[in-house]
Amino acid sequence: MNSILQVNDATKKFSGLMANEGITFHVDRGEIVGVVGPNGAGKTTLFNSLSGVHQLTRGSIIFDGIDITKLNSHKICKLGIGRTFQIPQAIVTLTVEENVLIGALCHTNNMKEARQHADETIEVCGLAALAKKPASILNVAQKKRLEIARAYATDPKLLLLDETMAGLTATERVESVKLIEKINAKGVSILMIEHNMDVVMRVSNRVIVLDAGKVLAIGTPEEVTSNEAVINAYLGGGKKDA
Amino acid sequence: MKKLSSKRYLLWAGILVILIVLPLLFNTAFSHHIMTMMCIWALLGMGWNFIGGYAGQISNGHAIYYAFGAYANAMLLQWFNLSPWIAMWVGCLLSAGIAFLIGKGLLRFRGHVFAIATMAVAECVRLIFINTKAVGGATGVYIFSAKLNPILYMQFSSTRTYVYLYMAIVVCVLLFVRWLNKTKFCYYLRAINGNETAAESAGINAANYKLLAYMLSAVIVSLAGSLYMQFMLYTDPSMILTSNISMMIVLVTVMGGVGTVYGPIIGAIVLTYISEYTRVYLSHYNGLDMVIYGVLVILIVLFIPDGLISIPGRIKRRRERRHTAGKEAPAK
Amino acid sequence: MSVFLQGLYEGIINGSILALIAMGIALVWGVMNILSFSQGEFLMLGMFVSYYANRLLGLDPIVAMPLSALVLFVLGIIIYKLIIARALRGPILSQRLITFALSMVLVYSAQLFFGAEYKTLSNPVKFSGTIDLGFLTIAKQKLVPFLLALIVAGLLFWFLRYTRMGKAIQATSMDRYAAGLVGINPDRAYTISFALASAVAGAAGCALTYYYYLYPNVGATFQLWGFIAVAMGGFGSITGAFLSGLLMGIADTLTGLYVNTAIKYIGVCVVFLVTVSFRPKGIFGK
Repeated sequence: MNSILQVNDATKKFSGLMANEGITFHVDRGEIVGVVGPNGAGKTTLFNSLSGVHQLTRGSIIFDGIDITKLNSHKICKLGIGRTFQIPQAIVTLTVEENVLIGALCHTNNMKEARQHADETIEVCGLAALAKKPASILNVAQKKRLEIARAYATDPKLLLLDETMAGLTATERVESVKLIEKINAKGVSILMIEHNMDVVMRVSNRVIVLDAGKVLAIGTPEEVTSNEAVINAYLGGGKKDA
Repeated sequence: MKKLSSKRYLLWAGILVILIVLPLLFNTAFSHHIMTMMCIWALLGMGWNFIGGYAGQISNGHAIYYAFGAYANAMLLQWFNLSPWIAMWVGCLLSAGIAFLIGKGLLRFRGHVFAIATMAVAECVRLIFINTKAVGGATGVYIFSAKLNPILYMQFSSTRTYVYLYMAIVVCVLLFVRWLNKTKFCYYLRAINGNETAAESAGINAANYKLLAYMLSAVIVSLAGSLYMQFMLYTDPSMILTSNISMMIVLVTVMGGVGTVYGPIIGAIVLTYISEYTRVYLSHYNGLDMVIYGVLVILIVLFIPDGLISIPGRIKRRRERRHTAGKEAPAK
Repeated sequence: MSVFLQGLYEGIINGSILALIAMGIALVWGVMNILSFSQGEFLMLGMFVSYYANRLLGLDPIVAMPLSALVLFVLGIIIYKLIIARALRGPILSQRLITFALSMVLVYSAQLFFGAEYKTLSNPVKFSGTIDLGFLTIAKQKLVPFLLALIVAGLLFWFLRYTRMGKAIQATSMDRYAAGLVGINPDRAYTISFALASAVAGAAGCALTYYYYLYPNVGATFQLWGFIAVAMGGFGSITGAFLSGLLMGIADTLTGLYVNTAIKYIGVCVVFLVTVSFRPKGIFGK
């Protein structure tokens, strides 16, 4: 089996509202898959189901050969899915270093080992200059980066990135893309929600287009951009750079 | 670096000497009473700190475990003639068990609701104790006996012995807390306190860690209860099972510095000092001591919200600011 | 049957006092997110105002009620300005502890000035006597808390829903920052809510003196039951606090009547814990 993640018929209902319906796709090992779609298409709901924040109403999620449909967040993280949040969830009472350390402690009880791993991750993510600063004073770009660092420190096989580019300047975006590519180069598969089409088209191997809770199209960036349904629903709407 | 650590050893040695000398220097029963109560409150604060400080779940019902510790010593002595040296550990185990059950039920609640729920449970426990004849009911329990061997049964005639013993226990617990402070456990608790969603997503089983912290805090508070019983030799539900006691446990920690290693000890020293001295010097005016005590507490919590332990840092920061301001001034 | 009805009636009366306390706690909780430990002491102070109005001026508690509400309203403003406004800048835990220390100061000040012994109204109360309905005996003075609870609840709803200040308070409770942006002065909204909560407790204290003895620490139990009523009703919901206060009074009196007075409090606590287990946001919480 080559795919790291296999999602079958994922359906999530919130008191009558269909947030996700019949979503089926997979992520191959080492692949970067982009998830796009207008606001309210159900992207974050899908991420929440994948990372165990809530459970699916119907359908299944197989990660690395293990059924994780019914598992909690922390168990899913232990199995190897790291995630970031759309609204950065920095642990504001801790320093940057300690935030990353929390991630690094996921697979070890040895503080020395974890600290070393956290230091390496901080270096990779370009946060070394901020390491001793409290997380509460970071700006949006730095908080998003910290989120990635903390998730990456848990040694994930798959990383779920929820709008890591939103609110970033052009230079910061370039930095962020570089980081994502660097992490991917170390063998981590990536599933990323992204509004910035330039980024999605450049980075992703494949793209999933969601609309109104359903999959509209899946394919390479070229295939998706030439798909008529997608053009009508999304790209045609002039939302090139939301 | 090496110089610093040798300085540090000197500091510790100095503190140790002070601890040994103090009870000799202030060699009255009243001074010893104050020192013992400081030790007991330090333990209460250090215990509560795990769930309330590190994990950030504000329990307002920890008097339960204080009472379980005290009653464990009294009842096990009365029923089985068990020495307090053993009974206090039985009390700790019992408290851990009770905390497991209560924590399972209550730790799902958050914020004010968790606080109210812990208060409600503590009130129920108080009513159960008052209405249970087997544990003395409202009249409480009395364990003094001149026939018992003072060393085997921890009933010393000299108050100084209590002071030394309790200080030693506080130091042991402090060393344990200091060690734990640097482990995964405490980092995880702090992460849960800071942001539970983020903590869960980083692989932390928040429910389990909170439960563990709650049980650990119950154990330390229970130990304090046992020590309290051995020193007072008498207790009843209105002495140790009131919501006031539960709140004071929180107060000690917050006043010293919540979520810090030394905060509870500093809080215990200051708060006990204030409360005992106002009691002794002002008690002939009915209630005046508690008014002054309350006013002092309001002032301290209001003006030093991060606890007394934050004062040196504050002064340092202020000095630095003044320093940089002084440097900038000539440029104008 | 008539025993049951009598119990139900007494329960509603007891519940009315709880409802009044709970509404004040819910107001402060909802608007400024403080769990106020001094609400029970405002009730106690209301009782003392009523007691001294009766002893020195021969007033009936029902006449002293506006006075008591006014005194407590002013005291509320002073306490807010002196202490709470400052406390709001600190962490939530310090805020709670400050109200706790404040309650201690109030209890022992009362003890210092008024003495610790139990007191009841010394001058005869004109508004008394009983109405015998055959199946139910109604003590007239016990109707006061119930009617007061209804009136105060009505006034509070009217105030919060239809007046400018009330709307400002509600807006502030939803989002302090946004309320500031649209020109509402949050500090004023907070002051008024805190003072109102204290005035309600003061009026309730007056009504309570008709049939309850007073002493400095009388507020403590009402305080805890008030908390429970608010948590059970749904936090910040004043309707919820009112109704669950009444319900708790009934549950409390009936279990006391039929089961055992010692365990009646435990019964209430168990009902509370079971309720919030199934509905963490309370019965009326959204």
